[in-house]
Amino acid sequence: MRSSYKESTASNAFVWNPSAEERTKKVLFIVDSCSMDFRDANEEDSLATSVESIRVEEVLNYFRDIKAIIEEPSKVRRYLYRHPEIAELSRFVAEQVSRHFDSSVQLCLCISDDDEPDSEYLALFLRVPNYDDSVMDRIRKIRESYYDLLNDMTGWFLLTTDFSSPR
Amino acid sequence: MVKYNNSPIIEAACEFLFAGETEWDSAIPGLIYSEAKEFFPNREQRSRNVIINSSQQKAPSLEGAEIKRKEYTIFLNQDKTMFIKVSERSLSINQSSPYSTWDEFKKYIEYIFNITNKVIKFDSFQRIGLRYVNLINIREKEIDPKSYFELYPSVGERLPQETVSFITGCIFPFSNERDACRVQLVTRAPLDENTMSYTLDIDYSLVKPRSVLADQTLNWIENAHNEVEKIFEGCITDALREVFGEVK
Repeated sequence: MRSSYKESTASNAFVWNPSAEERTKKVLFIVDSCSMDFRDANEEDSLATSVESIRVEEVLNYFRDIKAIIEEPSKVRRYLYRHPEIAELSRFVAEQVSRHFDSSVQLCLCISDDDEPDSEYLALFLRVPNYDDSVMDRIRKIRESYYDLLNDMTGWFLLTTDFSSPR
Repeated sequence: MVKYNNSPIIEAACEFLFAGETEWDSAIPGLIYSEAKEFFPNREQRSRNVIINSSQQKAPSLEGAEIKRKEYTIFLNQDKTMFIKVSERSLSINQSSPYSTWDEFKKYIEYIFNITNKVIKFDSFQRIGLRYVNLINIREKEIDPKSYFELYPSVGERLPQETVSFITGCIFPFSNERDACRVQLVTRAPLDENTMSYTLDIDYSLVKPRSVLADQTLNWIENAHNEVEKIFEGCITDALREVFGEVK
C-alpha cells in the first residue's frame, strides 16, 4: 500500500483489531462533524488520558480535509498547542463560513502579530472570487457568533479577509 | 533505553482518575496550586465540550447524546512547557515539547503524586494512564508506511492501493487484562507538501478500577513507561530510527 498526502476530502480508512471489538467502547472517538470527544455515558471519565496535542491535530486534519491553506504549519501548531481552545473555535468558525458562503470560498489559517510582544493570534483569512458588500457583512455576522467566546480564552482569533482571490 | 536527537514526542501525560466515592470539593484545585506554585505558578481556566453518549449503541451516534461543557484548571510552569490539569476527580501532569527524559518527567509525576496524597484522601484509582503522543514528520512526498512503521493498515489486493489518509490502531492487554495499551497511528496535516506527518499515540492505562493501591502507584507508572517504550520501539522500523537520529 502506498500512502501520500493529497488534498482530498476522502474519508479516513479505519482498521481495527476485530478481536478487540468489545473494547471499542472504551476508545475515545472523535466525531468528524464537530470538534468534540465522544464518550460512553458510563465511562465518561475513564477512557483515554487527556492530552491537548491530539485535540489540536484533529482540528488541523479538519482544515486539511476542507482544503484550507495552513501557512507556516509549525508556527500554527505551536500556537494552537498553547491555546487548544482557539483550535476548536477556529473549526467552529470554519463551519460557520461554510454555512454563509458557497464552495468557492477558500480559507487560509496563519499566525498574525502586531509586532508587539505576545501579540500573536490565529487568523483565518477568507478568500472569495468576487468581493461585494455582502462579504464583509457576512464576516461580521460570523464574528458576532464567536466574539463572546473569546472572553474565556487565553489566545486570540480573528476571521478576516485580505481581499485576495482563492489560489 | 534508546534516546533520539530528534525526539518525536510532542506531549506526554500521566493522569489519575479518582474513584467515584473519593471526596472532592471545589477547594481542591486551590489546595493543589498552593502546594505546587513554586514550580507551576501560572494559573489558567480552560474548558471543552464533550458529547456524552447515553444510548446503548456501540458505534458513535448523536442519538441520545448530550453535550457537556467541562471546565478545568491548569497550572503551568514558568516556560509553559509543563502543566498540571485538575478537574473533578481527575488530575494529570502534561509535558509538551521539548520532552527531556523519563527521569525528569518522572520526578514531576512523583512530586505531583505526593502533593495529591497530601491534599486528597484516596486508597486507589478508577484509572491511571500514561500517554505519549509522537508527531512524526518524514520528508517524503509519498511513502509506503511499511518502510517506517511496524503498525500500519492492511489493504487487500482488491482495494485501491493508494490512500490519502488512514487511522489504524489496536488495544493490547497487559497484566492479565488489568492494564491495556491503546496504540493509534494516524496521518496528520503535514508541515509542507514534501512531508508526510503522522501521530503515533500510545496510551497505557489501568482498566480494572481499584486494582492498584495508592502505595503501588509509582511502581505501576514505572512499569507502564517500560511497556510504552517497548511498544514505541515495536511500532517503528530502523528507517524511522534513522530519521530520529539515535544517540549512541
